[in-house]
Amino acid sequence: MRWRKVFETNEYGKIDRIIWYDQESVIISGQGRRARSLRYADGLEVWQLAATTTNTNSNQDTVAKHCQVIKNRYDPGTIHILSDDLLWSVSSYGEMLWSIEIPIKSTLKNLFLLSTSQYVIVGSLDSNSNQLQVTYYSKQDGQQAFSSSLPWSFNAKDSLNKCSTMNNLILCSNNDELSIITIPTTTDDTNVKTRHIKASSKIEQIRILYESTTRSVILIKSDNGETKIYQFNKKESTSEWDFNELNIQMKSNSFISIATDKNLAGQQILEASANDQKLNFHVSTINEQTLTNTRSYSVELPENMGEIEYLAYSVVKNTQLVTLRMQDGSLLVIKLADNGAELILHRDEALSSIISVETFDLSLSITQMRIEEEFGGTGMFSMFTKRISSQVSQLISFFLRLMDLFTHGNRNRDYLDKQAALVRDEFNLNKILIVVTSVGKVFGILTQSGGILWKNFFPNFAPFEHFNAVHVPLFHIRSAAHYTHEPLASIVYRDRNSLHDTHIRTFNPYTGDLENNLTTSSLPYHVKRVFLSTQAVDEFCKVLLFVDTNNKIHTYPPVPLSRALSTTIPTYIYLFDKSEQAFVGYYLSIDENDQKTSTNLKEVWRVSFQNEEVINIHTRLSSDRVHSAGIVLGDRSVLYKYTNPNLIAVVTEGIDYQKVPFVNIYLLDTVTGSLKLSHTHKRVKSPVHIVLSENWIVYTYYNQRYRRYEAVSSSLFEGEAQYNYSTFSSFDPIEPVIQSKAYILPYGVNAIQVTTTEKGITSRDIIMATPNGMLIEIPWILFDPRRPLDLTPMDREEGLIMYTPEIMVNFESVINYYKYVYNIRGIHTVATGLESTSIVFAYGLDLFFTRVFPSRIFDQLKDDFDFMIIGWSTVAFVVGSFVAKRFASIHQTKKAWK
Amino acid sequence: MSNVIVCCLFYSVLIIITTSSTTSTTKAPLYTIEGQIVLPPDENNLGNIRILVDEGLYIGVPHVDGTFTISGVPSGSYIVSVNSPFHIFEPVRIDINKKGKIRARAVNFIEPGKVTTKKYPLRFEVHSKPNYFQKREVYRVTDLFSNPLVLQATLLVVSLLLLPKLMPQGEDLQGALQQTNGLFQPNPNMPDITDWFIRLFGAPTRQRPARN
Repeated sequence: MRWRKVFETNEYGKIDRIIWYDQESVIISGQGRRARSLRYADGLEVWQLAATTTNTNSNQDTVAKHCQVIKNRYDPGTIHILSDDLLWSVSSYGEMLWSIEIPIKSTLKNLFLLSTSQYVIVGSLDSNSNQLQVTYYSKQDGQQAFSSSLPWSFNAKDSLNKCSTMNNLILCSNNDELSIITIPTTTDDTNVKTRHIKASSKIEQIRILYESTTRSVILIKSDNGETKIYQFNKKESTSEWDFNELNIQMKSNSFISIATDKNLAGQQILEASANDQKLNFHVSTINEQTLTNTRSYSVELPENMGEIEYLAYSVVKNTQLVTLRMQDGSLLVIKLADNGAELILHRDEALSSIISVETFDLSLSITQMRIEEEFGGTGMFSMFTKRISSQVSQLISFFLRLMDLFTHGNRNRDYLDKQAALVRDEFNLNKILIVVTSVGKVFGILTQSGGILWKNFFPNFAPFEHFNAVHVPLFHIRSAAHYTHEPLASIVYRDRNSLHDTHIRTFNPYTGDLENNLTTSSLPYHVKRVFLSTQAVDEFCKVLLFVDTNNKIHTYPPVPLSRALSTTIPTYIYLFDKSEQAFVGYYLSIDENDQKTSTNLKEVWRVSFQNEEVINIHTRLSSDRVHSAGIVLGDRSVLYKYTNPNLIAVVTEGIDYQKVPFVNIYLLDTVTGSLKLSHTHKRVKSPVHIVLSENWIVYTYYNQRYRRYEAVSSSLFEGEAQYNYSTFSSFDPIEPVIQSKAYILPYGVNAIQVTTTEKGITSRDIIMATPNGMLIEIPWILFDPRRPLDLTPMDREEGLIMYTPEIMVNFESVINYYKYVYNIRGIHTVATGLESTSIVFAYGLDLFFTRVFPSRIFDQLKDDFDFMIIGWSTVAFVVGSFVAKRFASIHQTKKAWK
Repeated sequence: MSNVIVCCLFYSVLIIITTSSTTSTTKAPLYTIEGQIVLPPDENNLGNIRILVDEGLYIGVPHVDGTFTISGVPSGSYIVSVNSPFHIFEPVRIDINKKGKIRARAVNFIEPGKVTTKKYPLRFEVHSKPNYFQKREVYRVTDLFSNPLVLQATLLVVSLLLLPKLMPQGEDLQGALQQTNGLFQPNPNMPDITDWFIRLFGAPTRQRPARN
């Protein structure tokens, strides 16, 4: 990749159209509000222009803005842009030619933009009189020349969906009829002509394949799968067009693209269709009404990529190139040559749309497994034989390995390395990441290399909505701890076409192979929430529990609830009711002898929010461990933490009676429904990013009043005494003591997360992704709400740092160094077998993976540890001590003889 | 000439008023932020530099000569920061007032009211270079001598060697020295590990000579 420019994530950075020139390309973004030109050579900007005014809508306009960009066919250096009410023209040299405003009303919408050698023509729909007003503006200076109107039968939305423009034609589909409306191009001739083409059934799509000043080709697709291609030729010295149908037989799912080149005699038409794992191409030359010189190519794809979503065919220096975007987000470039088609580029662009991440431990190696097996078995005799046999087999395999090493040497090293990549290492540092993308492609990625182990594509995939984001539940059904059984993971998603249908797919995270027994497409209920059982049922597998829209709980696969959930510890479930903005807590009573696989939920509490809208919730990581129950203070007394595992953080947004926007943060106990913490921030803008761990919460927001990003940190404490030292219950009458501090952040925040370690002994670091591309590791001690304003010796003894409002970021704590990553949406942290080490995986537009050591490397040797010096000095000491002993004995005897 | 301009202005104001009365939307003018990035002449790599306005609300791409324009910005207060993996630039806060006048000042998060004006059009010069890496500790002989503990130890050794030589060879002192020497003698009551091994394996055919 030569260069890459990342635009804004908001509406302003969304690209509307790219117009390609020889040296640079003009990119129109922000719904026709900005034009910029980037050079191909280095990606630097040549010029940038933007609209000079904007609409500040007082009433929220629900109709999305509409924008049309066209290149003037008669003057290729001029681009006309119509953005809602703004019409402007720029030249490819970066000159704003003119810009005018066309008044719009709720009944008058600008829809079409056409251009001729003299005029820029805007078609605007007047829904009052059902007429299309056609206004002519001078191409030179934007002066309105004249206007006319014609009857129009579509409404604004239909006009946009069903109509296309081409030269001076507007093409509209009306059921099985295609209307071709010719807009006159000169002022002399003002009558509008309309002609029709009949199709065999309802027209689904009109696509313009090729457009020039004298010839055009369009495609009409009907809903019965019939596809027709029409060729338009301009009549001499008039603005009218002749058209004729091209005689071409096509499959219903095929895509068409047309390429022209100066060297080619005519135009070449490419028909492409996807068929399982195969792409078929037919290239022909358009010759009057028929196609000649048809050649067929086919290419085997490495995996199932679904249907074609976009196709472009181009001939560059006599090389025929086909660029495709597939349904699974893959970008393909295929070269067509005389000896067949060849796939020359394949990029999994789906990886930039990750929505769920889970990590799996790798499987134990055979030797590790044998050691595990050694201690299995029942009865004295079987245990003894097992032990002896396993030790013998270990010995044999050791000798075999030695033999192999001597006979083969390095020859099958590659193969061994590949095998070793899938086996757990000594400290469980390497893992498999399972990522689910929003297009429905699931990847298994090895962490040590970043290589993709396997991919699975689910074509009918649609994610669930989760507050203001999308979400796909991904579960560990069976972990890698059970070495006799392969691990299993499940994803739950909705059907793309019927959103009430839920699919469950269970697969082996090492290979991606589907486990068909635990895969279903039909659940007889509408799913509201899904979670994992607390207890393993059959063969160490956990089951999925679904809450349906009637507040009934079901298990999948169907097993008695008493086996899936603990009967000794009561189960509470909370759900969110969006229409009432309320959290509702339910109690689930399970009888031990009950064999029911589904039951009703009983409501026990309800927390509803008035005048504020819940925008997000945040739960703690399931891997969160609390090592110590308290903090030892400077005077040797203990301050006990309030570590409630049932807390969730709730973020709400609203506008108060003084019209001041506010954001509220709550900590809600999901068992009792009581609020343990509530903070109000006025003049604050979301997004609020939250980390909830142990007994503390850290969240960030944008302060509109002081125009800076801030972080608030709060800790909850039980106090000097602990209510119950052995177990925690939400029903214990504990009022937590809350300490809070606010800090100023030097950068904005895209995502934050806390490091995770196996036992939670290591101190915590906060990983923060910033919009400028850095991943910063900040020790939690800097966010500690107990940082004192003036430092007493007792605080110093405890290791507290004096409070300063600003959190300074040292570039040494940037964990991605100069490899900046942009538009990070989430960070995933996992513990490893080493207590000091936490794995960090940041995902978004870019992916980044590393290991961090929040308390430095305390349980392993440094990379540059010199084994040679230690080894040789030990040897030297041993030898030296023997020599010294000898000398000492000689000395002793000499002394004795004196 | 000026009359015409005034006239035009009046006319456009009229248009704006009439349009705003007919539609529910109001027009807000948009402005352009301009500036220049100055890099050291030997490292003229603008390729990975981005200009962020308010942490990515607007993103600019530098031109070949280091200048940049960010157009389409409504009036308000923004932080303009130049973001490069290999250079640090100081961010600047700019205020665009309703008339389109642009004023630049230094960013101060702690005291937002404090104003230190800066030049506009903006000029970003390399403040320093980021240091992402900690220097790896390398074993060097000179480090050994600079270590205070090592110095202390050598001083002790030297004094230990020199002191007996310097001391007068008095009888009583000799005795005292003998006593201190006794401190370093192994305690005869302490069980010797070799003895224990010998006793355990009963190996020696060669009897240890008894101690006097």
